[in-house]
This record gives sequence, structure tokens and C-alpha cells, in this order.
Amino acid sequence: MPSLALRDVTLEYERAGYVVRPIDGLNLDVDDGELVLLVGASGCGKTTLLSALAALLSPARGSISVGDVEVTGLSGRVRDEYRRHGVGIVFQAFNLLPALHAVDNVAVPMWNAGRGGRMAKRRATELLTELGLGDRLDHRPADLSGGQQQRVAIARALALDPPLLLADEPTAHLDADHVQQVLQVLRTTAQPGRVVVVGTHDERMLPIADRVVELSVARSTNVERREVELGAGEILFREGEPGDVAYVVESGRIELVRQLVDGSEEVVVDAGPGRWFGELAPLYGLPRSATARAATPSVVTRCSPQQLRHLVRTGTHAGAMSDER
Amino acid sequence: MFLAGQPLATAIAVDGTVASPPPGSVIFTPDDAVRDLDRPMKAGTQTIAIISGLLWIMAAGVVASMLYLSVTERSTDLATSKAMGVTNRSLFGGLALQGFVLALSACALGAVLALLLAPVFPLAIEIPTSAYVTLFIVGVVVGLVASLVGLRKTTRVDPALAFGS
Repeated sequence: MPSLALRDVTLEYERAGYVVRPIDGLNLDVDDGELVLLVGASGCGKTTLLSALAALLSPARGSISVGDVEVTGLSGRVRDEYRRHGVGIVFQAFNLLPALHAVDNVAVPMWNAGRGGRMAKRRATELLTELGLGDRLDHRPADLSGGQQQRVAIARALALDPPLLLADEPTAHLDADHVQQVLQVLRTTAQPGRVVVVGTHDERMLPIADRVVELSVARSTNVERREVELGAGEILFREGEPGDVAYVVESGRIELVRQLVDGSEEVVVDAGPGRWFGELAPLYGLPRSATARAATPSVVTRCSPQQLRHLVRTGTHAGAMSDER
Repeated sequence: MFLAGQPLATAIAVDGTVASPPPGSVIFTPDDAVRDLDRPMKAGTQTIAIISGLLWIMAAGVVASMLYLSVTERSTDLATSKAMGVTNRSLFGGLALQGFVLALSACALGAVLALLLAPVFPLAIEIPTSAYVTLFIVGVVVGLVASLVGLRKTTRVDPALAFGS
């Protein structure tokens, strides 16, 4: 049985009144002791997925289980208990409490879990010493370097020895020397009894990973350019789906619609003949941010972004830029 | 001789017990007489009481504003705490403690200032011990009530905000 299992997970959140669905139908199994990297462009859903694994966001669909715990649908005290003991989080900006010394920052989760003050401080001291910060126990975050703050944050996340450690862009604010230290620490924390999941842009992390999950959409370089006929009301692609091609409207009208938070729809673009759409998803490796639907019987040409650029440059299609974004 | 030659007397002080007062006069005990002397100052003491009430309301507003700002400025800290499993109840407990300490400190400062300034006033000001006790009780209640303002804000902080900072 995998330590971390995601089944058909779809994640949504609200932004400016629209529903954004960066993860749609994700399946993933991670074994005990593995270090998993989530990689992909900004907006592809790395942080959203980490939020769901930490039970800070409930999936719109699917299930997430960590060991025997079904994270999906946790609420109230059980959810707080999972957040306390089931998961440790290392935030991109460290998020240490500025008024507390390093040792107290690490002791906070233990105090919160009802551990005695002396015992918590002893454990915090041990952890910080293991991470090479034995001489920085009584320093406040402002007096520590970025790498030291990140190691304090890692120590805090490990304080209650959680079976799941999450790290969001752990090297984003670090210089090269400190990156090496943090990579070593993360690698050693992935051991039997624990899974480590890291969301990152940083390719320097790839060698330490047991598994790399590419969340961005695979880009197709060999797209057959062809025409597609659509009946009125027919869906060309749906919001949240991966997209590796762009479209040019030859005849008819294509509506690009986005789902609003209240469940209704808004037409963001009404594209007529000569206009194109859908090029951002393949260009940036992002999921479709709107649904494309034929308002009338229509014909569109399916092409790669490169082919679309050629069409525009040669003047074959001179319509105004229109994208689903 | 009794009225010292005056046609009218408003009060006569008697050392002893009056068997039968003159017609149209009323017998006052010493306590009654003190209360009667306070009568012309009634408007003044009521005004001071109203000002005192308004100052308490202002104090509650100041404490509430400080706590609200404190919660707003520390949204990320609160979100991080929630992400680590700290309950809303614990967070509000911390906020109430902050309000309590703030109010208690203000009361202590007020009491010390009263002790220092009372002798300087041109009027003789007497501050009974009960006034200090009342000050601390009302102050603490005001601090705790003011902390309720931050309660709603605290409970609405989204723990996912911790990832976004």
C-alpha cells in the first residue's frame, strides 16, 4: 500500500469571481521513504496540490490518503489533529514567528500539541543541532541568514516527526551555498516512515528526487494542422483540460466561457471568423482556463502555436488576438 | 437672640436631640445634611460621570483597534499557525490574553498617574481604594470585550494564505 495516494483528484479555487481548476483528475502513488518533486510552470497547481495534501484545501473531486488517513473531507478537530501530527510544512517564505528565538519557533508545534515546555525545548535543541544550528538557538529570524531560517523552518516541520513533509519552493530565497545545505537536509528527511513532497521550479533539485511529477501540460511539437467541424453547442475543449494546440475560427462563432463561483457562466470571448484562441495553454504548459463552445455550426483549424505564428506572420489570418485568458 | 437679629434662618445646627422642631422646619441628621450639601454639585458630578463613561467607550475602542490591527498585520502568522493545526479557540485565547494584558497595563498606568497627579490639583481629590478595584475590574472587562472584535477576523483567516506569503 502506498504511503501517499491520490485518486482522480481535481482541485479548484476562486480568483476574481472565476473558478480556477489547476489540477484535474490527478492520480499519484508515492511509496514510503520517497522524495517526490512537483515541477511545472507558475500556475500549474504545485502550491494548490501542497495545500490539499496539508488539508488546507478540499478537493472538488477525488480522494487523498496519507497512510491510513483519508485526508479528503477531514473537518473540525480531526483535521486540526492531522495538521498537527500528520503533516509538516516548509513554506517558501519560511514563515517563522519574528518575535521568537529559533529554538522557540521549533518548539511551537510541540507546545501546540501539549508537550511540556522543557521537553519541547530539548527536542527543538536536538533538531536544530542536527541541522547545524546548535550555535543559533537564541537568535531571532531577523538575525539568521536565509539558509539558516529555512533550516529552522525544516526543523519546525519535523518537530512532531510527521509521516508527510511538504516543502513549497524551499530554495527560492536561497543563494547557491545555502541551496546545497537545504537539499542535503531534505534528502536525509526522506526516510522510512516519511514521504517528502516538494513543489519547485528549481532544476538543481532534480538529482535528489526519487520521483518527479510534471504538472505542466506536455507540449506537442508535431501537431497535424487540420480543420474541425463543430455543431451548435458542441464543446471543443473544457476549462482545466490540458491543451497542446491552438485554434483559428474559419466560419461560425466560438464562445469562450468561464465558470463563475456561483455556478453560472460568463462568455469572455466571442470569436468569429479569422480570430484565434487557445495558444497560451500549449505555450506555457498550463491547463485551459476557459471552455470553448460553438455558438453556431462552426469550422476551426487546429494547429500548433508555431503554426499559428506562421499563419499570423504570413497574413493568412489577420484577426485580432483572442485567447481564452 | 436665637436668630441673631436676622429675619430668616435656613439652617440651625443643634448639638443634642430636638424634641419638637419649629413649624415648617425639617430635622436633618448629619448624613442627611451632607447629602443635602451635595445637591448643588449634582449637575457637575453627573457631567463627570458621563465623561467617564465616554472615556471608557473610547478606551474600549482604542484597545479593540489595536487588537484588530494586530490581527490584520499578523494574518500570515495566524495562517501559518492554523496550517500547523492551532485551533481557532487557541488563537482567540491568545488574542483575549493580549487584550487582558493591554487593559491591565493601561489600568496600572492610570492608577499610578492618578496617585501622582491628585496632589497637584487645586481641589482636594480623594480616591478611595474601591475606585482602584473598580478601575481594574472594568478595565479587564473592557479589554476582553474589545478582543471580541478580533475574533471574527481571526476565524476568517484562511490557512492556505501561509503558502501565498
